[in-house]
Amino acid sequence: MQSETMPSDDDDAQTQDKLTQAQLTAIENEIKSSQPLTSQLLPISALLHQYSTTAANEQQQSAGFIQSAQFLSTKYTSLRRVRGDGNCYYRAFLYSLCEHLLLRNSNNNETGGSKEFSRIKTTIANSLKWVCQFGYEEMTIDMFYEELVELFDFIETSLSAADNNDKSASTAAGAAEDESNRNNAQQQLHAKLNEENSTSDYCTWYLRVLTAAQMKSNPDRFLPFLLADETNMMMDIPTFCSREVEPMGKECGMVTVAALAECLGVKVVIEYMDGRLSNNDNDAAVGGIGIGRSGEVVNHVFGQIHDENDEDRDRICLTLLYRPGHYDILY
Amino acid sequence: MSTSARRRLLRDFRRLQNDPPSGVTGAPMDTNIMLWQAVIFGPDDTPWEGGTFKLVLEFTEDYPNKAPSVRFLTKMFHPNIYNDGQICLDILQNQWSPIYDISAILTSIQSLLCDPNPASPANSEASRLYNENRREYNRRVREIVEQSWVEDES
Repeated sequence: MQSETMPSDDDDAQTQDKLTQAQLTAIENEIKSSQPLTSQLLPISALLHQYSTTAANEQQQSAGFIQSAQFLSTKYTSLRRVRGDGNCYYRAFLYSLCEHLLLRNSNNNETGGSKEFSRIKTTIANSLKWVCQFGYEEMTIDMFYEELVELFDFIETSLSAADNNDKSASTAAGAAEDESNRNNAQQQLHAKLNEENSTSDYCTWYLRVLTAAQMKSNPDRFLPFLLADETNMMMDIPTFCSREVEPMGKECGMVTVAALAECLGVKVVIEYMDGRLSNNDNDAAVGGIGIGRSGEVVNHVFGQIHDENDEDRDRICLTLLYRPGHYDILY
Repeated sequence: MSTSARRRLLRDFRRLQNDPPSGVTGAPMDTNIMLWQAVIFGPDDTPWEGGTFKLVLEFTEDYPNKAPSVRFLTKMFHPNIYNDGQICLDILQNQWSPIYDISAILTSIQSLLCDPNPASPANSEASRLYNENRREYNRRVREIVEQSWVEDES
């Protein structure tokens, strides 16, 4: 057969291709074995520590990061690292959202908290029919949807257990029990969201679908962002979604950050730490996104409602740290 | 063991049976649901018409977070198919998304047959003929179609 005489070049290309693939898989596995999906809570000093221990020849480059880390240490107490596998924004969002809902409701029985929980839970419960309007097949996504619904059921169960306990919380023993239940629930949530190839990945991917559907549902709002970014030139929203949002492991940009926050009606504050130094006030005027006054880190708020009504005040507010190509959770 | 990968594969199977896309079939091999055999029929009114092309799909426990590995068993002649049957298709590599189920994978491969992607050549001869000598390319494709029947009988 003629075709068998020819293809040594093709075989080389394929071998090359396979090597690249093998390298990528090796990197992936390395990340998987060295980083949990979401870390334990770390003191904020861990952030500074990371930069102040870099080799002397890199000190110059990290000076901006050190400055920013120092600033953030005065503003936050803790940090939770999220695995750097390209899903970190969605994963950080998921973890932080669940944790907020769990703690906020059980901490104090404020009605705003449980109202917010019900609102988000209802939004999610209704989302399957909604996303299917934008061309997704129910058959292929409902597994992921169900996983997120179950996660919310889990939070609700934990909350109602905490609620029952509140009735006895007037006594010291009751309060202690309450505290330990809360810790328990939080640990269970942490374990659930750290299981490989399970809840966290499934929900993370469903958040991608919600993000894509949000963009498709409101092209007038999101298309200008795509057109403004040169690398996305000529890309329409469906193409953008199939290349950048729907596949696992594709990093999240500003427009996708905004879309997810708006989809669930959650406020997201992001501290942008991009390593640039700023020494005086003038830098703020000329600087980029991450430069504030005298070493301050600039933050951006997404998913904000512009009219100041009461509902807005009850909103869950997630705080994330951005460093080039990566998101972690701040406390 | 009923893992999420297996659960999803069962659902893919059910969907393939209840709502079969035209021109493709697939089923798990024997008792192993992680290993599938599929057949893609060459689309009508194209040089591929009449061909029956066998493939094997291998799934891991990471499915559907990771794409399966898909390979033609039938000898192919196509710009995006390697000599050993591996397919160069974005959705099976860096554009993979859990959105795609087995139906979607098979129909995407089917449409790749008639609509090669010049940006990722896997068979340079097929690529060259496709671009420079479509007549000869079509003749070679028809050869492959005829061979696919012979392989079927064996």
